[in-house]
Amino acid sequence: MSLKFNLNRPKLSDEEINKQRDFDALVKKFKAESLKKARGDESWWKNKKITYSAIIAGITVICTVTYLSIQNKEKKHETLITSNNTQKPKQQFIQSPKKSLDVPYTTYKVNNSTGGEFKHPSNTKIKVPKNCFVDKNGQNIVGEVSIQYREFNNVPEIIGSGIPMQYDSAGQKLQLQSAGMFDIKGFQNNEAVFIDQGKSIEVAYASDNAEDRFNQYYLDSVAGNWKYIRRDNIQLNTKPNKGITQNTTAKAQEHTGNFDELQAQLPKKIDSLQIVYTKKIEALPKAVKPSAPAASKPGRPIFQIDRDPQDFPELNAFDNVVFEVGEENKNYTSELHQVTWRDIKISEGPQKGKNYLLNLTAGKRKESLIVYPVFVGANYEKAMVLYKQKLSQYEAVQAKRMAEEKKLIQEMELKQAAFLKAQKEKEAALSAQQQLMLEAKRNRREQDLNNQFASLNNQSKTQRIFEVFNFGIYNSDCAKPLPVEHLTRPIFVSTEQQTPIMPDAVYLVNRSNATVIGLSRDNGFEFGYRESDNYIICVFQKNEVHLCSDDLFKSSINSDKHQFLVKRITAQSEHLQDFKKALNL
Amino acid sequence: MAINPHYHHTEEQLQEELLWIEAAKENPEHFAPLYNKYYKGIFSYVYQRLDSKDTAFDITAQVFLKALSNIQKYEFKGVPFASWLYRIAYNEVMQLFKSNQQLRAVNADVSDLRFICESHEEPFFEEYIPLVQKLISQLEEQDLQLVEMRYFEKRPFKEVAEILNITEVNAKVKMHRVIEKLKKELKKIKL
Repeated sequence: MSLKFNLNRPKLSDEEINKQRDFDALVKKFKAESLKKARGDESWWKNKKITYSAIIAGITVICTVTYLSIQNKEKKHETLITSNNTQKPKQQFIQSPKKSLDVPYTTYKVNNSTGGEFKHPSNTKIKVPKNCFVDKNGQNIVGEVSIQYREFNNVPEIIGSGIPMQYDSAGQKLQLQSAGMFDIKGFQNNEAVFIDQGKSIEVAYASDNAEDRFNQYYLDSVAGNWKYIRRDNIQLNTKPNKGITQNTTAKAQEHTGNFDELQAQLPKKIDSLQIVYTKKIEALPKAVKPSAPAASKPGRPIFQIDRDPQDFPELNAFDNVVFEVGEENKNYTSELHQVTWRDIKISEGPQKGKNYLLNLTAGKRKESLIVYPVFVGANYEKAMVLYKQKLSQYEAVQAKRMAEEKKLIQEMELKQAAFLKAQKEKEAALSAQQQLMLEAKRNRREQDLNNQFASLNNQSKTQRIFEVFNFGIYNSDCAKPLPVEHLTRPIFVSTEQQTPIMPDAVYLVNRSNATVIGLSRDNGFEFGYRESDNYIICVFQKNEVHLCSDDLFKSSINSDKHQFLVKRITAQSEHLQDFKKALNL
Repeated sequence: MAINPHYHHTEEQLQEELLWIEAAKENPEHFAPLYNKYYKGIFSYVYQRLDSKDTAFDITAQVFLKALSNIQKYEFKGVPFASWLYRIAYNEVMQLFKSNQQLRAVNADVSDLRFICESHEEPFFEEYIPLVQKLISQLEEQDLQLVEMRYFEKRPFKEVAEILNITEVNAKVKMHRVIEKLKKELKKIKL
């Protein structure tokens, strides 16, 4: 066999290799080949019965198709409606793991020429301005439009919807902690409608979470990622509850309003102080510590070369620097000094700032040596004098910086302590007010209390205001990094059969911060976890649903294996309410 | 010698891989984790033996297609799934050479050729390079495979043995013989 020998061929980058990786193409080709193989199977054609059956079936198909095409022409209008009935938005990467758990839509009707306002059972308000909708050609819609709306207020609903909660922020994988998510769509006669340019629907999302640390995101189902819109726009609820007298209501409003406001303000103030002072500290004058010159070791070979001062500025402080060959170079021989090298380059060494790589080239021959910058004889003395000067300059700048940094930190801590003190005082005052309120409440009539209780249940703490410019899925979220402390590729084992199961979909729920992520099958459902947090895992396999409860999770990670025991909860997953109970969330 | 984390497996990883294989037998869509895990390794193996990058990508695609088509016949033998893929890759590459569509290529860095002098700590001179190239080019295919995998691809003996379907001891003995043979020939030429 003839052979070609290549030396030092450039390596391909991972990116270049991965560009050609295409699993979908492989599966497509596999299916095409399987089909071809099946068709090409001679024995199949030798069977006369099958041949005749195929001919008859073929004729039947032709007749049916012809008949249907004639029918279709006659019932053009009906077909249009039928096909539209089955039309769904192209959101293939959003797939509910079990249809019975998917959150249903509520439909509202609005006349496009007048607009309208609706109140969802959750207390969310949807305001539609007039002439808001256009068709696919950009023409104004005439008549009534159906708005389909649904909300996802908790982890079981998020799991049931199959909406991915992972967020890729410029390559950083994050998980989204939701304070409220909704999906909104518009149709007329089963045809999708669009929001006109410059118009928007206002969704005042009723949320039980009063924290002001969330951002708004839109799910771009084409790009397959969440898109940051803006910082969340929250409004505390100020409307009085029914059944409570005006006087009491005013007090209650004052109480809850102030308290929530106070709680929301404090971390923001502490954080902003931290940011301001961190920036101030970063802006303080910095000095680079000079490198101490080294004297050449007696008998060690050296190379004297001209170098570009742009390459290594740390060496510019010293003149007459030479490069001593390190003792670790096994390939060094004195013969290297005899060769006339065509090209000599110096690059960064294995120990940054300490040593360098000297790359020598003569024709095809290439040698690389680890070298150290040193000084010979009197040059060393000169370099030491210069070094001492630079060091004292550096130490002076550094000492000044440390003092100023300390001063700034003290200043910041004092301010933070003052905020905390003010917070405690206000809390104490509010707590006293609360006591008074409770006493007053006890004296109300029973009917008033019942009304108040019912009303409080329905009254959400905040409204998160969204401007909907496009139909789709919106979320009020706080992005958190995915844990990487303990990475594991789980093997799920059924507690009933004691056999491994191959899941179709897996969801990891962090109960400590109420987050959920769908794990990817492509990397073996790999996930990371923090020992301090509580987790459960929900596993979907065909029509079965399994749960790895927090107890099972803890025992699985403590067993130091990748095996996670899961218990079947299929019976409790036919309805969303039962599923919520089964997950105990 | 570097350890290839995509090849070496713990018992649990082997079990996990088995689950993936069983799943892929039921549904080709479940072959994805295996494909993603081994794509780069198989491509590198093929490209090491070829001159053309495009052909290497085509052959890699062919290897995975064959693997997926024959996954029903796969039997676990206590070694990673990769060794099965490497054997398919080897057969595909050899088939290509037999049909004279491509030249057998050997790709190495100059520093890789030093292995011939390593054990005796002899100096390696630039003049040796064409001689060593020539000697390696004259090796039998099996011996060439050993040299390539061990010294140019930096694979440990365990992995070399599993890919070639021989024992680790056998791989070491064979490697020793090949080096001795190369040294002897080099000495003859130098004289």
